[in-house]
Amino acid sequence: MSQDTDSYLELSDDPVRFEPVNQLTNVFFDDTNKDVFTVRSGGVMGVVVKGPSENNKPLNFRMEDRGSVLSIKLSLDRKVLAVQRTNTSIELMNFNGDSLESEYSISCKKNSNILGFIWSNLNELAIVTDHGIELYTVIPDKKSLKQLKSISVTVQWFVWCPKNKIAILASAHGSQLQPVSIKQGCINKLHKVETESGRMALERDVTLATLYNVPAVLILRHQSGPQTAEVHVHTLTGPGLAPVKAHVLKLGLAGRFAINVVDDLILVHHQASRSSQIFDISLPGESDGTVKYHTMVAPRSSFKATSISLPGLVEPQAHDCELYSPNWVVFQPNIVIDAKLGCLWHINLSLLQLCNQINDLSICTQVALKRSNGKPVLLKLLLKTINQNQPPLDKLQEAFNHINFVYRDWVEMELQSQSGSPPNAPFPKKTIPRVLIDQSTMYEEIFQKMEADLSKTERVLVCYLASLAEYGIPAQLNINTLIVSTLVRQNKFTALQQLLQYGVISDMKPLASLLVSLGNMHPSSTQMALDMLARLNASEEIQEILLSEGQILSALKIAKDKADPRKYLTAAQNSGDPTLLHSVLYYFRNHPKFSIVLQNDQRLHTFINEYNDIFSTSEV
Amino acid sequence: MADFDVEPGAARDNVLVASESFENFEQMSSSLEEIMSVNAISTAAEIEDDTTTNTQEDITHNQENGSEINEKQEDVENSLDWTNKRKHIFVISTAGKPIYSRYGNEDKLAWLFGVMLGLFRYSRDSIKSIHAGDTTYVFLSKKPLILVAVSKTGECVNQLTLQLNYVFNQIVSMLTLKRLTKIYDEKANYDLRRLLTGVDRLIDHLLDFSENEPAFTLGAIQCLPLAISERDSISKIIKDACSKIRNLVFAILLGNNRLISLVQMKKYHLHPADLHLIFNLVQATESLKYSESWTPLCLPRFDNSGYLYAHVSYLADDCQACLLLLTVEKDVFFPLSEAKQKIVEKLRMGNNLEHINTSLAALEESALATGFPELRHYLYKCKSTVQFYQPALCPPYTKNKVRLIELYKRAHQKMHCPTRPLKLSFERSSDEAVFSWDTKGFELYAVFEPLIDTASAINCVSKLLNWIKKREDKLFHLNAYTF
Amino acid sequence: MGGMNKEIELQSFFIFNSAFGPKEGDLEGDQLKKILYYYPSTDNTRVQEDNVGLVEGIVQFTQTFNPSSPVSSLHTSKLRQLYFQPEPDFWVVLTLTLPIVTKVKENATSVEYLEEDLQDNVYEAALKQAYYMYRLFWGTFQNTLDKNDLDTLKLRMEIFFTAYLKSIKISNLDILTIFGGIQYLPLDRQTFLNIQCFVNFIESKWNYIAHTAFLYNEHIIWSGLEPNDMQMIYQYLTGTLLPANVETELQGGSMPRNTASPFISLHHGRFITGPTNLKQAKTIGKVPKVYLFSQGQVREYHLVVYRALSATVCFFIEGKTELALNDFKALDEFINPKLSSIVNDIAEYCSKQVVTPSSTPETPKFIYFNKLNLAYKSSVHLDNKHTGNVTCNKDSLRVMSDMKHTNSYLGLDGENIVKTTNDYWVFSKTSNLREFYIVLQQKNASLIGISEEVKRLCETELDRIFFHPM
Repeated sequence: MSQDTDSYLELSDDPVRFEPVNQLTNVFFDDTNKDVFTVRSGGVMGVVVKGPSENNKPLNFRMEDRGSVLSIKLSLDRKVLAVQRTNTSIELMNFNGDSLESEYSISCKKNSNILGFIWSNLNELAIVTDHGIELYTVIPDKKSLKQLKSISVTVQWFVWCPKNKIAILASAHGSQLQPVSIKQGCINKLHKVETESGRMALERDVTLATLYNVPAVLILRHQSGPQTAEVHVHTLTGPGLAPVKAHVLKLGLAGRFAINVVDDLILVHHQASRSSQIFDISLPGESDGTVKYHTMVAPRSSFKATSISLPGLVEPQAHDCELYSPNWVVFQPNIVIDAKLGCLWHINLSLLQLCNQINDLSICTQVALKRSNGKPVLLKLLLKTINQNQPPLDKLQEAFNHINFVYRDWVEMELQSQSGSPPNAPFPKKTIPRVLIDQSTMYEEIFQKMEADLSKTERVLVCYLASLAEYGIPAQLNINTLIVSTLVRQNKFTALQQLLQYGVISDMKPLASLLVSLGNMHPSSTQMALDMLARLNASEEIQEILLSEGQILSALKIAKDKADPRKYLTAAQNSGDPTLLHSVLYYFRNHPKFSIVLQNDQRLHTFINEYNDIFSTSEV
Repeated sequence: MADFDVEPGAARDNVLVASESFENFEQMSSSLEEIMSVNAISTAAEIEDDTTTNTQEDITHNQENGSEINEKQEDVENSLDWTNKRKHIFVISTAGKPIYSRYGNEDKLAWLFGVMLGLFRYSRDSIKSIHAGDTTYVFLSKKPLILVAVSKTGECVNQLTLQLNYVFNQIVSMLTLKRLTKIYDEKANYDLRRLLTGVDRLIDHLLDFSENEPAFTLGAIQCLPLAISERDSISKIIKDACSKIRNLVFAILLGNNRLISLVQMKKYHLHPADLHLIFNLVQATESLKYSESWTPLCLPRFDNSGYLYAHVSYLADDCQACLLLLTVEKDVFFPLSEAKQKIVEKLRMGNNLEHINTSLAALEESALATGFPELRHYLYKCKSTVQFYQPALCPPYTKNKVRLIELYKRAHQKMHCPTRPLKLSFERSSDEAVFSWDTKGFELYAVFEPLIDTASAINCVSKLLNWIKKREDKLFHLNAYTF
Repeated sequence: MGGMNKEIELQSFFIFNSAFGPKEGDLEGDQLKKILYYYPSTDNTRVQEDNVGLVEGIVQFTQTFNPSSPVSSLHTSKLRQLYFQPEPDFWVVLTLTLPIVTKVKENATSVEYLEEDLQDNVYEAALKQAYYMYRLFWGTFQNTLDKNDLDTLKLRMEIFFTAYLKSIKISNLDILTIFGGIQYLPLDRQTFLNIQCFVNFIESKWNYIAHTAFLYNEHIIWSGLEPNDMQMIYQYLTGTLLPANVETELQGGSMPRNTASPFISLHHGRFITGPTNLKQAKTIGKVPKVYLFSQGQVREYHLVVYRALSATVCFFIEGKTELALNDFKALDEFINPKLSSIVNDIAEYCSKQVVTPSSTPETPKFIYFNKLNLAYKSSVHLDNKHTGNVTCNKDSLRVMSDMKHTNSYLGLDGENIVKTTNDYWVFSKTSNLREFYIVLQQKNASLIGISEEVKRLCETELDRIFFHPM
């Protein structure tokens, strides 16, 4: 089991503190509003409500003593307080911020027991009884409730997911799991969760979560005998949100477990071993066609040690919190509460630590790409890998492929949005990838920063180019320039030639001029430049090169009617070759268009005179 | 392309012996004995010996410039300047006696001649050429001599061999082959230079000539442009004036390297190669301008075994055309001298002299001037009459004529590669575009502006052929006159 | 033309160093000392001495006119002799007999020596290649003298050249010999990149592998060597090493039948230099050493060649490295699976390529050569093994070599079209340090027509490069 130091899990260091449970004090947690209620002696001594974070100020109020409280929750707008004391009725009180007023109540159908209630929506109260669900709308001013809807179904226990407003109703000892969605005043039964018939489940083994924006039912399956426990992930991806058993997480352990979800990673805490495993359903896994089997992404790890300060006799003392304590209760997505200690923590994940524990760069990259804060971590990781003295090029390439896979989709989407796709088409803002590493980033963050080893740079670049090519992404100028200069600085012109020959390096005018500038280093670079320009139909540039090479007539042949006589005559004159001057002059002289220019343009006559001096002849 | 039933310049009866330029040089077209016997006179054999002496005088009495050169060139043999000459020519006897070196003093080069002979003897199988970078070394064995060219001109082996052949012929034309072989049979290490004083000047000139005139490469002759009527009347005048004279074989009238008129004995034809030697003789010998001269002359392609005798004189102080009357008779100086006078008078009366003068004065027109703006220069050779025409030189080649000639030499070589001759070639460089065309009837080499497009080049060529066709009777010597 | 004809034949090949002979003037001294290698051994010592003597004379004579470069050839009426001075005082000499045709004119037969049909530039190239091939495996002559002694040098020459001379097909050499070019495989970017990465993995994993080259069949896809070095390696691979192995593979049937087949499980790869059996150390065998010269100084490498499924990977391993069986095992384990899938992609790409329609005599044939990476393409040659297996007549090929020779006069951007007497059209163009030759057989075509055709061809065949416009 991994050491604290490199543990990738930690509890938030500013837990929400509340009065611990004792004879007089009860503590309730409303996982809809994430409020902690501390109720002293049934509320007479006061009720303190603390939000999910320390810094929003707690509510304080008192209630009259009407016996012990079973459940207590504020409405979503915190204007109505609902309290359950009996299993037949719920009491409601309007709340003005610091005191309660005007009680009213609602009791459920005859001879049915209330299992619990939910603020399913603003002023919407859903009461779950062993016979079904009754949905009411609360009208605080009239102090009355109106029934909106109800369904009847036998329920033994239920689990509510406030985010997706979906409840799982369990019957037959959890062998029947019925998802229902409670939205805008109506209740919809969804398809049952498919489970092996008769396979029971306890309430605590069923978790409702959201993975990659998809509602999912996580069921912890304890195995008998030697086999070890599994988590079955049913995603509501079927038609009409029908649950589909898509993933199985192999825990490799038995015992008591608790599940959290952080940044779409599934954490499975194991009490006995005081450690947690981490799973990512987006990673490839063994598949039997319908179900993917996952093993943990990284070695198991336990939480970083954490402590809180408790008031001491003289001064407050630091108290090390017990991790994986039996007093722990976990709530979705990432909340851990120790009622005995009076602490509410959020679980944080240190991606860097996590990645450090994953040896396979390719997997690491996939994990990082899916995390909201993945970019800096991934870049750091790549750089580290490349700077090893023998980087695993094949792994690097896989990593690049994952990166560019995301990059490609982004590029295509950009193109679509630019190429004015149908205006009403929903602009896919939400599909902006969590981690986007484009060429510029690669250039600045990796290639610019990697240690100066030319042959390594070359190899890594080729890997990257190969990956870009794989995804049909044209390489940017700076990347192309970098590979060219890297080869040139090693004097590898032959290699450069081959890369150009096979179209690895894209044709761009700036590259061509770079090549021209290298002409003195190696003749081939001029050839390559000319070829490139030819492919770009850049006849202007070609002429310039030919002129500078003294191939004046060749240039003239390309220039055709667009030639500037002055320019060419000057070049011919400077060549000091009389024959050349003759050829150029006569070309213009015999050319229908230029012959006139030659006569009319006074400035050109200097050339004619020069010519006549050389050949001392009256011609032209 | 332009099509003609007869190519421009073709004629009913040929003035000259048609021949391919690289052909074997031994074969002769005719024999003096034949002429002699026909005209029943004393044999050529006796003529030789006693004439040779005055031959020497004849030519020696104006050698100054020739010999001067040799003084100036003291010790250049081992200087860089000497090694870097563009073309060296050496002649050795098979016995290893130095005979001629274009540059430097043979005696100082004895060692080199030694090496060359050594190589030649050493190799089991006769050396033709050696190649080293920009330098070509060509060997030609002409019993009893060995000729060597060392050239940096880029001319091919055949071109250089051709020039060596000319050099050999130049020597033969002074001595006759018969005599040459005889000398070496009698005295293997004879120093031929004793007999050849002055010849080296002719050879020097011949070489410069071959480097500046396409005539050698083409193996053809260029005529002085004259209206056909004009040329005919001139030929007629010459013919009439000489018809009475026994054994007159050729009457040749020429001016600035152009043939004006050629009248010959029935059945006998002059070979262009021989005519080139004659041109060279006239060109190289200033003295001829001032006095009539009488000189024996062997025309190797005509008959390398014996001499013809040439009465050489310029028509008049006011007409710089040169008339050569060649006969087999060694003692007819005065009859020929009279004949010449008659010819001059007649020509003067018929205003022919003026016409000749005007034509001599007026250069050929340049291609540009004749309405071919993109055509820089060209050579047109009519094969059947071995005559050619070229326009006046114009820029850019006025700066560097040799370049143009070498251009033509390359083109010619390309077209006439022995094992794979070409019908046609169109070649572009950054300096010019060269179009070469070899047909049954004619050869054409045209040099264009480098950027001309193929279509207009072709177009221009056919226009050009028509242009020549129109002027053929002016540009070429069409009608042959015989005694 | 009737009668019996003779092709070009090798008459002699010898190497000498005058410095080893008696000093100037000492004619008594043993001239034979100069001769380091002489073929054929049947020539008696007298002949050998004479031949060497003549060459010495020629060298000396030519130098007096300080030519731009040392003497390269001698033409005589029946023979051709080519010279190469690869190192100071060392001369390599090749003597060939001119091809002969015997013509029968009015029942008199005359023998004619076709001087122009033996082209200097072709055989100079062949001569140089012979030396460079030797140097590839043994380093410079001088190197052997310094490290070992004269006898060793002679022995090595004896072993190498006697075999080499047998292997060259003298009469089939042509313009390709001048180029000594390399054929590259056209390939899609992705596959090429995968190969690049593959090579990079290996080189970074085994850092004593200095360079790597990757071939598919006889085509290069990746070469980490400078062209000049690769040139000789390529000649060796395609000329000697691979043909030998292809045989054995054909029996094994190495090409994946259907690209989909999950053949990765099979083990196709093997070392064709190095251990034949990865279980026995004694089979490591002699891994050839090669000497590369491009990077300024001489470098020595082991040449380990691995072959799988018509792909060939050459590893150039630092000469000092001690090769152990485990290295080979490790390499094999790493390479084999990766290679299989790569080859699969290549094969797939190649199969997708449209095969050029079966060539008729009318379809133009072309040869392309790039001076800078020595890449060549030829639709004239049906293979690159000098089997004389060509799709156009030999004269047009000779015309090309002529053109190659004269192109030097045409400058950087020269162009030439000619029509031969047997109505072939041959086109040549130099541009941007590349050369392009085309042969067309179109009897009644006009120059203009041909120019158009040529223009089209250049545009289609050379679309991805800069080629000066016509």
